[in-house]
Amino acid sequence: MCEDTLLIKRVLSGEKNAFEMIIQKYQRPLFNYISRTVGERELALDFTQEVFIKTYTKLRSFRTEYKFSTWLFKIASNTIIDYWRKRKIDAVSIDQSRETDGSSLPQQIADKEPSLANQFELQELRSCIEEVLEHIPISLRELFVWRHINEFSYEEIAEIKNMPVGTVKNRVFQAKEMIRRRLEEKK
Amino acid sequence: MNCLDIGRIYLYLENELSSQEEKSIEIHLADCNRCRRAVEERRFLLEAVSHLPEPDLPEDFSKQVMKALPTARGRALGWLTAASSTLAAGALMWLTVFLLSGDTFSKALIGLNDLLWTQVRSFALIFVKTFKIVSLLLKLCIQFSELLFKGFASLTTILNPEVQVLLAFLTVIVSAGLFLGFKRMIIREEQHDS
Repeated sequence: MCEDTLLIKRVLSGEKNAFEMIIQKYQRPLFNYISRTVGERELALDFTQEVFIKTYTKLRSFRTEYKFSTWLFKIASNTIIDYWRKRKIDAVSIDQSRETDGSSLPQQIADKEPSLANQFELQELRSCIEEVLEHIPISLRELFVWRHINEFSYEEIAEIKNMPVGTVKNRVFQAKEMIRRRLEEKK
Repeated sequence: MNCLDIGRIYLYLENELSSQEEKSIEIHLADCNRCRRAVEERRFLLEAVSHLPEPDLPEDFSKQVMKALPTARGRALGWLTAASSTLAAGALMWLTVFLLSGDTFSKALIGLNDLLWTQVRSFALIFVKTFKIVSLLLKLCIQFSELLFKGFASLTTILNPEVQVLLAFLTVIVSAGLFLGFKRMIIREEQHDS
């Protein structure tokens, strides 16, 4: 039985403090994901807390044959999407858009690609990536953050979002190419 | 081999391809400057992305979350509030329908009162019947225990004291054995689960 399942059983048997160990294990990766998808630190802290509270109240419905992290991030993803919908962000930017379905982004290498290595130092590139990431559509940004910041596998992301692995891979590639193009435009 | 598409480049850089596919890409890269440059570009991007700084989290964040968690009492009150609100809403709706039908407010209240008492009487009837069934079952259990006890009592008149002591001793051994056996089974199941 994995560590998460043992902790969950302890919480459900009345040992509320065992939940704090779950929080300490997942607070950083969860906050990392939420802060990069909502963009504002205070709001991200509120959402991270809200996700843990929702997880705690729904703990009885968690099925131990599944991975807890997948379930936790599913709750987080739904919370973030509700937030963006309430802000009346164009549904196209949340759900699949023409730009994100792969039909308009180039699949082949361009003949002349400017070199990021020539334009940026590594540290400078990292700060620019943070800025550019805020302008990537949420549907792509979320998957990109999970893959390259939370370091989830494509299969784990597919399970969280309940979508095919191939679609996840395509969208993450699109996010990276979008970031790369915007970085080229910055210089 | 044709030049690589962007998706394959990323899969190659993230070690998501089979060793055979990787080998064929490396053979292509040895001869294709354009693809080699594209791979290096994306390698540089992935390296930058892989070490983005983590945003700061307050030191006592977990304690703050624990304080904000609902208590069992809080959750029970929540249920009570939900139940009361539902009842109140139901009563209000019923009154509105009644009044819209043209009857006076006092008639509407009398109607609601009658409805509530009918429901209370039905629940009381169910409760009384359940209570009767439970009492009957208890009586049966008591009678069965009395029969069992009489049976043991008659055994003691038939059997001599030494046999009675032996039987009692055997009963204790068998009960202890069953108890330990169950305990071992439970421990084995827990070890298997973990």
